[in-house]
Parts: sequence; structure tokens; C-alpha cells
Amino acid sequence: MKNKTDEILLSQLADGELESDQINDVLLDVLDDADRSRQLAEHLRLRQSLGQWRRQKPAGPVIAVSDHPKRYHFPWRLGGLAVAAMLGGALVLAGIWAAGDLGRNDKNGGLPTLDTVTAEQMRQVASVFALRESVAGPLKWYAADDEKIQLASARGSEVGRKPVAVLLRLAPTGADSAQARTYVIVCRDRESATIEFPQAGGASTVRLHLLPGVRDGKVNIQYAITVDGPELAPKTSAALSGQRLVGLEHTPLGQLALADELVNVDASAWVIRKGLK
Amino acid sequence: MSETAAMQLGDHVGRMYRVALRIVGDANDAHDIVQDACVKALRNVARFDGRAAPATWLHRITVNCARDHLRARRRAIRDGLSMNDEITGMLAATETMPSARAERRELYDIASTLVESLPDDCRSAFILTQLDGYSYDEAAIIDNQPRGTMASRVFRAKKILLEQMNARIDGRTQS
Repeated sequence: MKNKTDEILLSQLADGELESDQINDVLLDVLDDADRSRQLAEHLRLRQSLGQWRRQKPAGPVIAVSDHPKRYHFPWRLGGLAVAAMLGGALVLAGIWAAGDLGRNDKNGGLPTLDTVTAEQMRQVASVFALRESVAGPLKWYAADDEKIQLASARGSEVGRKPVAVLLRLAPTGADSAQARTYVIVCRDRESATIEFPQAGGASTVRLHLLPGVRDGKVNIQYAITVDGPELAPKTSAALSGQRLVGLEHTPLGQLALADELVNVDASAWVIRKGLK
Repeated sequence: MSETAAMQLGDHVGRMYRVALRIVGDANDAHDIVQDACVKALRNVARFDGRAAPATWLHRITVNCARDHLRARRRAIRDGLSMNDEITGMLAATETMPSARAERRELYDIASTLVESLPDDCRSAFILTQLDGYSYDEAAIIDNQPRGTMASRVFRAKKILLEQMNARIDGRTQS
């Protein structure tokens, strides 16, 4: 004789809420009892009938975003994907940092490590770049640090050039590793990008000039990096320029001497391939 | 919730969307609500103390965002939103859903109509587990009930629905 507990078990079985051993026991009982088989079938049909509702998902991408000052205006309504695209880079950066040991709270006391770029990091950079282009159109370059995102539109032949991702890190030597800064840049093969990162709160301004050239799967980068000293300090600046063949493993580009501070400059770079999202 | 966990918001977006959609009944609005909920979640990530599962925390945020959206859309509010508002949107949204087999579609139409008539306690349990897709454990946390109580309420809701659905189908068969 069936009881309420048995019926509740049938309900849970239909919802996939039983442990595997319990599933076996209940199914064996059901197979021997026509009435319970009928009941289970009813529960399953009800579950099945609502399956199409449970399978509903947003038609377009939903990007988890963090707050970000709206510096750039796009000719789209500020809702849905447009808002997500405007704000998406900051969190993706955070994700890159957290997921790939580039984060500020890693075991190295906050100093981002950039040993080798992971596939997940590559996917994240590709995703955010694709999303930006889906809103703003083809980009000549995209640049983001932990405070802001900058874009430049591509024109003419620039549109067809391969996108190249560059992760650039400036890390002061010495104990204060929390001041290391990482920049995510996507630019175009054989197209120069000049990007300025003014820093809030009187910190130093970083200017980058990059000219990547793809060669044998690696990226040959011509670079010039200048750093102006903080506003409150006596006016100082430092510059570093050169050319390196850079791959997924971090490559030292040199050091910047800024007043009494020495800053290590490292970079990783790769070609963003279509479909790597 | 760490930044890494925040990035995993994508794992919860489907359910957040279904929650929003059944409340507001419009796919575009539901999409916007999920965006808003994600922004709010990340703004308040420091307040997430980890006592609840992320899914249940996000559910609460999504419901609040959806209700805010409905309030903005309506002229008068009576004592906040009634429980029936939780599925009003679902009934509207189903009109645009692609239909599967005719029989399944009919069952779906009947179930979604009858859900409104369920008693409050088991209606919530039913909506969370059968519509939103939460597990019994997650639904128990959302509703602040023991898991066993949740299982019992889900069963009771199903039993009521099945009896009413069978009565409707039998009534149509005989007429």
C-alpha cells in the first residue's frame, strides 16, 4: 500500500533529487507496481512539459560587469548589450587577473605574475575585444588598465589586419609589489598604437607606443614606453624603447628608472584567432 | 565572493533570466534586468558574506530588480507585488515560445495557468524548482525552509496540479 513518503520519493525521482542508490531502490519498486509506474509517469510528464521553460536563456550575451565611469558614448541605447559592452572590460580584466595569477591578491603579496598566458586568459581577452567591436565597430586598438578602458576605431586597411593581444606589466622592484600595473592591449599587426594611461590620484602617467609584427607565430614588438613621475614629486620621467620577439611566456623588455625607483617591464603577446571566444 | 567567483556569474545567468522572464514577461526586459542584477551583484560583492550559496543570493537580487522594473512600469502598487505577479510574466512570455509536441504544449499551457491557483507555500516551492530550475537544496535556502519541507511542498504542488490538469483533460475528453 502506497503512502505519502513513497509518493514524495517519486516526485523527487522525477526531479533528479535522489541519491543514486535510492534511485535504484525506488525504480525497482516502481517497475513492480503498475499504480506507482503510472504515478511516476505523471510526474515525469509534468516535469517534461515545463522543460522548455527551464531551458530558456537570454537571446544575446549577458556580460557580468563592474562599475565603470562612462567615458565613451556609443550611438546605441544605453541598455542591454550596449551597457554590457561599455562596462565589460573592467571585470574581464579582473577575471584575467584572478584566474591567471595576475590578480592583486595572489600569494606573491599582490605582485601580479605573468609567467605564461593561459588559454583561458587568451579566451577572455578575445571575448572582450569581440564584444567591444560588436558595439563600437572595428577597432584599431583597445587598451585597459584597472581604472579605464580606451578604444580607437580602425579605418581602411587597418580593419583587415590581425588583432594582436599584448599584456604589459610594469612592476617596481623591491618590496612594494602592490604598485605593479598590468595593461591589456589589443592592437593590429603592422599598425602602430599610441596610448596614454593617465593615472588618478597623482600617480605617474604611462605612455605606450607599440608596433607589433607577427612572425612565425610570435609577435615582434617595437616599443617605446615613457613614464612621467607623480605630480607631487619633482618632475621626473623615464623612457624605455626597443624591439623584442614576444610570445605567451613573459618577456622582459627592460627597466625604467624613475627617480629612486626601478620598474621592471615585461610583456606577453599573441595573435587573436577567429573563433577563440 | 571573490573576483574569480564574480566571473562565474555566467553560470547563473540562465536561471536569473528565467526568474526575470516569468515576472516581467518580456525577453528584452528580462535581459536588461539580468544585466542590472549582475551590476548590483558586483557592486555589492563585498557584502556577500558567503553564508548563502551564490545562486540564492543572485536569485534575491534578480527578483528585486524584476520587481523594481514592474513597479516602474505600473501606476499603482498595492502592498508591494502579490505572489501571482511572480508568474504573470510567464504566462505572457509563453505566447512567444516555440511549441514542441502538441500534447506537451497543452500540458504546459494548463500547468502554467493552474500554477496561479496553488497555495502560497507550495506555489513558491514549485516555481523555484520546476520553473526556475533550482535544486531542492537551493530552493530550501531561498525560501528558508528545511529540504524535507521543500520536497513535501513540491510534491503537494504537483499533486494539486496533476489532479486539476487531469480533471480538465477528462472534462474535455467527455464533452
